[in-house]
Amino acid sequence: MNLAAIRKEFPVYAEYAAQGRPLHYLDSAATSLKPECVMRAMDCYYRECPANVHRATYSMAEEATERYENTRLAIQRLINARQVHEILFTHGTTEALNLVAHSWAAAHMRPGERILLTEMEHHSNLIPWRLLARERQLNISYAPLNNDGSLHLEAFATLLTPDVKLCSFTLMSNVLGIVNPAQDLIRLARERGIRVCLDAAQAIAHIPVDVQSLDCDFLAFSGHKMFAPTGTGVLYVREKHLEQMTPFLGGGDMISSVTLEKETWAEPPYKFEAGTPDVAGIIGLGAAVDFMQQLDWKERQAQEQALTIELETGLKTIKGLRILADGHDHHGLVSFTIDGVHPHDVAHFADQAGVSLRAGYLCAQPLIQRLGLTAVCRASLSVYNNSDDISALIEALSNATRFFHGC
Amino acid sequence: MAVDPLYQQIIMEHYRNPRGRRPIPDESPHSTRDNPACGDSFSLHLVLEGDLIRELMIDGNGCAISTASCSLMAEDLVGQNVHDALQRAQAYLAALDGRDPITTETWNDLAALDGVRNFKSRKTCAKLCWQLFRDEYHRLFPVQKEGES
Repeated sequence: MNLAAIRKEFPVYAEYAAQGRPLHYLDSAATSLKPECVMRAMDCYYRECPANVHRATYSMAEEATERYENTRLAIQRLINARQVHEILFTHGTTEALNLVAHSWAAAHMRPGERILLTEMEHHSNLIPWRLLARERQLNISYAPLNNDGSLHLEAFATLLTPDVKLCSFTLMSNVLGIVNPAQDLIRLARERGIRVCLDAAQAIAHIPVDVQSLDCDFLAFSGHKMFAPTGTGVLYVREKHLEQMTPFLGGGDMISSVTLEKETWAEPPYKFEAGTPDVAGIIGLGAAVDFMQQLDWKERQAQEQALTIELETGLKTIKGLRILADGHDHHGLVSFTIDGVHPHDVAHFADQAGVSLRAGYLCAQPLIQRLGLTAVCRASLSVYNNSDDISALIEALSNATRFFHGC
Repeated sequence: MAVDPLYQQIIMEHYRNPRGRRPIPDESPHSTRDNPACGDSFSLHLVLEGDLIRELMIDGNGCAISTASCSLMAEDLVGQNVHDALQRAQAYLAALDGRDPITTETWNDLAALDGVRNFKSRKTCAKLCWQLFRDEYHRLFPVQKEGES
């Protein structure tokens, strides 16, 4: 697929153009725009085979189940999982991480044992563990950061003490754009028999993710940051853990048999997928994977890198602007502050020019505090962005800066 | 470049020279409110003389709108009876959510924030300190919480 023509695949651009409104969407790290093929796949399910899944006693339900399960195969290929039943559907990264906390950690960790996290985590990779730690008397350590925001690798290694049973960290920071050296960190953990959970919510749309070469135990991501519908997500679980994990939610679809006295669980992955799932959303997720796989990774990454450099170069022309983790590879995600202009005011000026910019602590308050800040701005890119988007942002920032510094 | 109607001169003046802004001593009880969407955080310690508001001590960080709103509030409420001030805070919060323009006749300089009614996310900025005042009032007068919306 030609990257220059890709914008046409995202109907929201035509919608805005028809209304005569500018749209420079620079918040793909929060959620990506959705291509036509994803919406069409969901629409087709509702029009052509809107039956429930996994209850196939008639052909329409078989058709729905096949479309739904095709997404599981597509995800297996996307992340190179060995087995298709290692792919669990969830409502997003947050639910996936909560699932690991409840179904694996709660069953396998004893009071006094420890979970290692880092100071750069999104709240969704902090709070599930904190809740669990409180409930089960577990301890938590946080691997510290260098002053530029990158992970302190030596300190991470030192914190892998004998009481640590699980470490969970982000593959790519949602604030800094830094991709952590996951393979090295995972090797260190595995040498000590520590299980590893990865938050791939940001990474999944920016770098190839291969669970076999990563050698992780768990990997969570959301559909909506990779062109799929909101409310869809994936948890990869290494096969050997599946049987030892307790169910997450109880209900229909996750049991094999039920009497008034006892119940037996369905085979994984269904054991962890209670209730009627978001069938249309998961089918849309499959279409999003197909969409991603039509794009050439090398071409995509080259385009992203070129646009990221253009963004950074433009940002550096703004007086008083500081880029977070400057000098690191940002993978299309750049956070910054401007002296004397609060990020929310910056975002307001951007919005008035049709530029969607995120401001705040980006669901990573401990990281923002560690960097000595109270809030930041973030511009994040995807395949549909172009130089016009960068120019519109830089002009809006220039106007905001002139206004605040000048009057 | 046209000046954004949100950032009137009076707003910018209060943003640059916020009234009531000073560190709250650690030992002074106070109320704190955050806006998780944009990271704004303010604390308020109310200094009373009987029922009269002698001072609003405000500390924290925020955007131009939330900072100016804090400052305008400090200017507006100082010297008022604290119970009347609560009524005024409630009325101003309602006005920010309302359809009618916020006019100088009723609200003096607070009318400068009228523009935020057109921007949902900025309304949250303007309201933060008035909700904080309500929190601080209820901290001081816990039994009188009834009837609050």
